[in-house]
Amino acid sequence: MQSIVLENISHKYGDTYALQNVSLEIKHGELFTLLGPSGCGKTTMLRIIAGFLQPTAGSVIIDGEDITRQPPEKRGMGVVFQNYALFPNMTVEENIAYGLRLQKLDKAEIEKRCDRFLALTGMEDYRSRKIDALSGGQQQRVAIARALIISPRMLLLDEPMSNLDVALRARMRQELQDIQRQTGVTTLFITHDQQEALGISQRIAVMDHGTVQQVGSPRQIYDHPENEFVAQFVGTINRLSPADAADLGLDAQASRLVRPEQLVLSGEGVDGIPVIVDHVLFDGSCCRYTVKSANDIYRVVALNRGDGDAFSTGSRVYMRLWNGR
Amino acid sequence: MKKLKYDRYKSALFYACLFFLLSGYILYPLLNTVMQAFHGEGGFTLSVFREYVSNPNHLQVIRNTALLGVGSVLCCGVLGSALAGYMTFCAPRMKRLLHIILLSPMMIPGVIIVIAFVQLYGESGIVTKLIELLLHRDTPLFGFSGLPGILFVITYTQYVYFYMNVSVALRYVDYSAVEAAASLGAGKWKICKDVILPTVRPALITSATMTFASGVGAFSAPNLIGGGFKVLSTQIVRSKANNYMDVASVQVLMLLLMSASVMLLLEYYKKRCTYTRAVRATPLMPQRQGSARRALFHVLMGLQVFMVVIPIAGILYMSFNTTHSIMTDIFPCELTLENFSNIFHSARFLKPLINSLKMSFMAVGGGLLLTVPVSYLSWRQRGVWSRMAKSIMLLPWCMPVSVIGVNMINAFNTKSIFAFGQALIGGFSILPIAYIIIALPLLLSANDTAMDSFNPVLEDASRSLGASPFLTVLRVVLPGIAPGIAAGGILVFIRTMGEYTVSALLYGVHNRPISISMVLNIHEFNIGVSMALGVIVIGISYVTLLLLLKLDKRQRPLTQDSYSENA
Repeated sequence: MQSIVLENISHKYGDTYALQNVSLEIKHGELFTLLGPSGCGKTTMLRIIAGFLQPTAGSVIIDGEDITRQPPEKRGMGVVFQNYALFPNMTVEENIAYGLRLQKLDKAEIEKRCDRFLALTGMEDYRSRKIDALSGGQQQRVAIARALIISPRMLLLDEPMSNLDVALRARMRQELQDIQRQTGVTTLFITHDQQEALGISQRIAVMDHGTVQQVGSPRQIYDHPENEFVAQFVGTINRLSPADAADLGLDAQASRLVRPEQLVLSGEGVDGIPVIVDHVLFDGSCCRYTVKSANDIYRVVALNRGDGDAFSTGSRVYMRLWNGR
Repeated sequence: MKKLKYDRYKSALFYACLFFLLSGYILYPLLNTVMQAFHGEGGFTLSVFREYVSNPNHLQVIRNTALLGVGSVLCCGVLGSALAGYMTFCAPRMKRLLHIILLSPMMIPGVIIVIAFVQLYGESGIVTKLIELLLHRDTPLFGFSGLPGILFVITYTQYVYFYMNVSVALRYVDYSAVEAAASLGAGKWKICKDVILPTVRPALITSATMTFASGVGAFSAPNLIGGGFKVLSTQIVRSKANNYMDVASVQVLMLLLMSASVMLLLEYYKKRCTYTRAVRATPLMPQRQGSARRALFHVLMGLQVFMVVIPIAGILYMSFNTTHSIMTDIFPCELTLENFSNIFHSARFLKPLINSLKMSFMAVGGGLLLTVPVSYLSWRQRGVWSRMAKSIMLLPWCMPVSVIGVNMINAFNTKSIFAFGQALIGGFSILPIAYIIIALPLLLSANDTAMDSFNPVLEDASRSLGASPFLTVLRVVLPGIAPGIAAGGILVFIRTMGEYTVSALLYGVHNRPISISMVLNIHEFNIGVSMALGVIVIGISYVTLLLLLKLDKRQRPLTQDSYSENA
């Protein structure tokens, strides 16, 4: 397995920078995610790594080899496209075997490897099916098998879950993680869905306007956002007013950004500030409150422990920081 | 870098060859004809022109041609649009079968229909004689010649453009907008004028353009039943036959100007009245009609189906009759298989069939060889060269077929560098070359439609799996667009099989096609054989039409969501 280094990559569409001086390193066997809103440059980055686009400046290096000018067919990248890009004129098996046939492997070897990847993706029973006879989830599995079977230097996934429904998305996320663990392939995952990114990745790069805002583990990104964009984009965040922050014992500028689950509501005001419950949204596993203090409006999330401690709209309660206290 | 340079050389070599062919076989012949029209003994002169327009008979020919163009548009417009409306609003039973029947005039070569019409409605035609018999008359009730006769034939062969385009446009009319207009108090006519017409107008204009071009360029009908009604296309062939090539060139120029200026005018008007439709348009619903009105519509439709089917049935019936019976009996009844056996036992009858098959395959093959790379390259990258090549390839669309024929004669009746030092006129190759030129616009637009529905990400997928650009085209792009390309190829094949106009100008002993043979056989009183040849062509057309419909079904799953770049 290979590591990939992106050195000062820039790319322009006309006069607009899609990427500006981006440098990243993705380690051996890592599942790395590029996370960012639409138009932040993440797909451009993937297309540059795959070789479909030439960067305006910068280099793509795999294990010390500069592959910036190599055509895509020489790079050995397995790509799973957003709409899967399965060849509609071929069956499932023909799609999966396509890359191996190009390598001119012998028939028995192709069959053996096909069997392995059909089994890995749970598609053994569909090998002779045409692509238009498959569901979205099945198509995604074929696309993953087709990309993995060529033993790629790296697996590139371009928002592969965006066409799936919520339940299937969660299942496929799990399956993708399992496959990645089993094959150990270095993987670059692209998504705009922060939950997906946090759930699947070993490390994440958060991007905005063609630049990398922060690189770190999901926990680092969520618990210690380096700037307001990262804090706002990954999860929900409250910005405490100076007065409320002071009342809660916080004063530094950065520490005024607090996640909803770091706030606790209680009926007694030992060290909290008085707030009124403005809105309650119960979604089974937790209660999502919108509360009003004298200075601002905040969001608070409380786990549902089944002990009936939910507050109703209009309740006068106290809000404090959760510090295990 | 080396590879990049190599690719650039390959592409430059391709374009060099392509522009050599395009300029040699389209631009140069056209310019040559224009030059001929202004060429006299002392070099550049307007004398041929002046002489031509000073003759009132010639001016009458120009007026007749314009009249035929406008008349064709009006008649075909009314019939084609009415049929499209009927199919959309009345939801008849067996809609699919009716649709195929209504489309069939497009599939049958015009010359065959003209011959069939002559046999049915001509002075001694079956229908004419039947009416005479029923009404106890000695003279025909109507004269099937001159402008009315030509218009009758053109209407029943060319209404398909209006029918197809208006049918498609009606599918895009937003029914919610119709309901909105009705709720605001608009009556039926007001809704037609304010809601339906603006959506259908571009389709009407496109159809008018195509019908006008085929009307002014029509040759078989004016030639076979025109009588004293002379038009430019027939006069061009006559000038050529008398070897007045300068006069023919002036006539070609007149015809070209007429068709190109109307095309440009209509195209300009179309651009001004094309609107973007609502994002989620509700399709039009069939409307409930009163029973009397419904019955009337069905009767009219039945009449139309009869009109379309009867020439085909007539040809089929006559092909199994002896020429003697066809010529002497009102209802021919000497049934025989002799006509068909004659074709397959006599080289004189069989050769034109083989020639036509050979030349049609050559036209499709040659046309695809030129148009597919251009369509693919322009789809990949909208460069100057591909755009220029496309513009030249589309040029024959605004040239009536007889213009192309005369251009070819003027350019290749002497040795030419574009023909590698050969004079092509009189040889076999001139006709397939002309067929290719005529086919280019149709093939190009069919290829472009196929390319537009191809998902470009499939190319990226193939490249990422290790396929070179060439292998990607071979294994992924071509199989993906093949049904669309084949559909264009099949249409060209059918049209070329029965092509008459350019064939009449360019055929020789080596390449006499089936259409010419049919007409010559009629003149030589081998009417039965001529009809049998017609049946064979119709049979080939229907087999290929079935293929086309099959491809149409296969093409659907290949059309994927268009590619969108996310970042």
